[in-house]
Amino acid sequence: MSYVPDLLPGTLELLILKTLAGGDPMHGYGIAQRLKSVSDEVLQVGESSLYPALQRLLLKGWVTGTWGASENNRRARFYTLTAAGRKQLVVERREFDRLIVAIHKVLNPA
Amino acid sequence: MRNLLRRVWYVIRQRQFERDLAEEIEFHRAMAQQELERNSVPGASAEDAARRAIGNTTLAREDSRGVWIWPWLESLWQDAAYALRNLRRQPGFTAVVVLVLATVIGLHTTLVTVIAGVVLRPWPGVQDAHRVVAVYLLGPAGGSAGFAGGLPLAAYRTVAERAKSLSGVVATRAEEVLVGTGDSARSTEALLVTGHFFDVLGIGVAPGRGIGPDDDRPSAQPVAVLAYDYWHSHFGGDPGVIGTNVRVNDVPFTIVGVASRDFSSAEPAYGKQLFLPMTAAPLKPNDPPLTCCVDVAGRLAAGATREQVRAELDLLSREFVLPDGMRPRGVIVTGTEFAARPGRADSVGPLAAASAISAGLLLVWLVACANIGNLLLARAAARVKEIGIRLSLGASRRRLIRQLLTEGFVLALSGGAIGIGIAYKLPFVLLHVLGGAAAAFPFRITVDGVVLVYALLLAGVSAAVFGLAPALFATRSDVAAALNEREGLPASKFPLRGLLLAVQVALSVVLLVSAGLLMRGAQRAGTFDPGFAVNDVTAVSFELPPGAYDDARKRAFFADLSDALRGLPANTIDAFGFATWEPTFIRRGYQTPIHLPDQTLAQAKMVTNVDVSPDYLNVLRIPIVAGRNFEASDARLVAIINETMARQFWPNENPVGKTFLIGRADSREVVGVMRDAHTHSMAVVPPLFYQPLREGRVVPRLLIRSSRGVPSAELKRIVARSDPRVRIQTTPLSAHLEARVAESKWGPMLGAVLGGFALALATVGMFGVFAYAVRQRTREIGIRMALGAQPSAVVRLVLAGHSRAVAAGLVAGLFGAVASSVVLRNRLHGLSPFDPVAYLGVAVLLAAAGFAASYVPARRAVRVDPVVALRYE
Repeated sequence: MSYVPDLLPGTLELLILKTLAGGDPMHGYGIAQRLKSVSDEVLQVGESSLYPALQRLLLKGWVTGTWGASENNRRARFYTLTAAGRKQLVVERREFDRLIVAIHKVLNPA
Repeated sequence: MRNLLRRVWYVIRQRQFERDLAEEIEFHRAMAQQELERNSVPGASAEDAARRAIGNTTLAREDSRGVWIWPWLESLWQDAAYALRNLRRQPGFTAVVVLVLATVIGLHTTLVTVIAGVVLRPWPGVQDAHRVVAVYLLGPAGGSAGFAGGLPLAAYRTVAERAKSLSGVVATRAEEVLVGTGDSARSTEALLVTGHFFDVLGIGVAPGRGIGPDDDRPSAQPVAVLAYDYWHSHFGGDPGVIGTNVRVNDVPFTIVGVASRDFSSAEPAYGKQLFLPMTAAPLKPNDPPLTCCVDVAGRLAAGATREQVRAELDLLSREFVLPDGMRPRGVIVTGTEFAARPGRADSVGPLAAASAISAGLLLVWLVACANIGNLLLARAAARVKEIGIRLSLGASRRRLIRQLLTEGFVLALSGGAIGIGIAYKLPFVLLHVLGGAAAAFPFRITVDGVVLVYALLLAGVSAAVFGLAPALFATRSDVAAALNEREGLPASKFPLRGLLLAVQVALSVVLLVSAGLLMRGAQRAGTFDPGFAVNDVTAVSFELPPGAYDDARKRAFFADLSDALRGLPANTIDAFGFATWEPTFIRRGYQTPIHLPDQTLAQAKMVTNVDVSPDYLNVLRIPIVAGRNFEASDARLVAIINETMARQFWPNENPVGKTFLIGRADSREVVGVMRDAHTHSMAVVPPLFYQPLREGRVVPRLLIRSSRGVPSAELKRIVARSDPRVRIQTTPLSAHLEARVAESKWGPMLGAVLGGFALALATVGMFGVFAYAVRQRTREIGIRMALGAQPSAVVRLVLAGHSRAVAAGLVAGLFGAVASSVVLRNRLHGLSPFDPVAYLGVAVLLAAAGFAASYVPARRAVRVDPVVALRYE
């Protein structure tokens, strides 16, 4: 079973944006794999959360999707970050950092 | 904004989007599978493993799609479509439910339209209508003679001059006038208004201006304001009509304006075509100079309340003198709503009838909801398995409840839609029933958005009421139990079910018997014996040229007419006479407070009376049962009373020779008693007396009895010879009778519609309950039949449980029916409230309904195959 830790709302979108920030177009499976490997197998995102998240990003216009051939020559949709998405990444990143600091403060009272 | 555009784009390209998504997810699954194959050894199960690993692809697809569409909207649409498919599979059930709902919603909406939109609304088209009050005078003395009515003109003037709590006071009076000249002259309803009428009430006038204070002076140039509809129907809505002349009672009036359309449905203006200054009243010379009475309204002065107005006018009213010389007891100050007028909200008024019908409808509605709930419950029982499967596949309970509720809403909304159609048409029919002919309902009814919303709301509430319980019930089973258990809801008894069934049966018995009695009554009315000559008698009314006839000339005209009629060749006419009113089968004519010499004025009763010429009873062939008929030499001081009046005033006594008092001083001696006749009503004969006609004072109607038809040509010639300007109109009495009979059919029809639906409801209700019983006990029946039970025993078994409820309902219904028929007694045209035909008819109907409701379930029970039933588990 794929295991997805309970993420804060919106965090998955942030992670996808960050993953795409490298500039290379990636397909959904690739994104999931990248998340998994980068997080040392902690973040195993199932498609039932991945694809709705991607659709949300498409809807908001932060990523675009184009169809192309995958490494094993199958048709796949490749996602790229848009300019708006890049801006959003900065904003969300800042928000997320603030949140982490806040949580940290709660967990380690001075 | 961009989001919205993308969503719209999605909706347009939905298929493409979904294909893309499916392909993308399939690609993902394939990649996952590949990886699993690479990493693990047993390749055969890799595909399954991949499927397991990435979970529910359909759910992923649904969720992804949900991002684009507001998900609830989509699922709502799905539910509705599913519900429609489901309902189409059971057209009979659907038709009955929709029809019943449509009727109940339609009728109810109609009533609400009428009551809220019309009866409780202050005059439309009037500025700040809530500050306008109507003033009525409380009649002299107390008791039954106390009536509330208009003010004498002099009293109005006092109020207008001296009332400080009113910033403006106006008076109106309805009047029939002749508009046009010669043969094209038409009798037209006009409203006489005082000079400040248009400004005080703030009535819009466009084009032109309203009647002003300067127009309401005896010396003023006569002016008229047109009603909006009249302007359109008779002047083509042409603004150029302002400044032109219209002839009213042969006097030219200058048209100065057109009153607003809104105001035309305010009570005083309703049905009126013209507004004329009050001083124009004496222009109609057939009437004595205007002294009594006018309707008075006023606008509250700033800061004043109705109570202050009442207190002030109460004081002023002590100076008022009524036309018969008596003093009023005070005033009543009300709003301008139709229902606020004194006497309208009482227990016999149209409002009471409307509320009674409304209450009845509410009951029918509740029973309908309960009934449909029962039906849905029975259906839900059949679907427990399906619902169990859905629950086990991961559907949430809330989702299922919503789906079942949606089914209810689809039903209710279809019913509501048809109901709105009914509501658009019915108010007019209903008003006819409620108002009857006696009280023309002075309103225009508009069916508008509010009504639409109300009907939909009612439909929505219905759906919630009848849909919720079954939905909750059907989905409460736990998955395993639902899948294993035999068909049927988890065992539980519904005593409520039996009770509801009994109530339904009882109510439909009451409604059916009432409707049956009313219909029999109407049937009887068509053939009833009015107690006097109707078919051969024709009434002739006269329109004398305005202004040309004083009392002496009137007397001479009618004397000439009588001589000419007597001079006709023998056998042309059988008899003729004069009266202030011809018999119209409704209570029309003067009502006078009557009391006996040893009674006080407070004990007076209102009695209808008509002034007649000596030959009148002979014309109508009403026999004298005691005393004598009128004689030509009779003075005004004698009267002939009918049997009802004799019984009411002199029970067990001979009234001939007795005296009664009219008002304070006037007295009459009873010289004769005539047999009761339905001259003034279709149903009960009211007390009535005739007194000799005062020749010359009024313009009476001529009544001619002739078995060979009325010689109208001769009549016209006679009149023309006397005065060619006089116009006559002939109406056979049978025409009045036909109109009344036609009217009296509306009530029974409404009753029959309600009764029919109650019966349909009860039948469907019984059917549902019986069918459910069979379904629930299929297995038990199978065992019994396997053990050798006879089919008849099985049928008894199935039907017995609820038959008791049906029987109880029948008994209760019979009692209710007897009670209601006693209430209806005086609408039955003399039919006995225990008319066996009506009761038998209802019994037959109910038996048929019971048979229809139990036949199918019983047959189903008998056909249970023991083998199938037992193998069921």
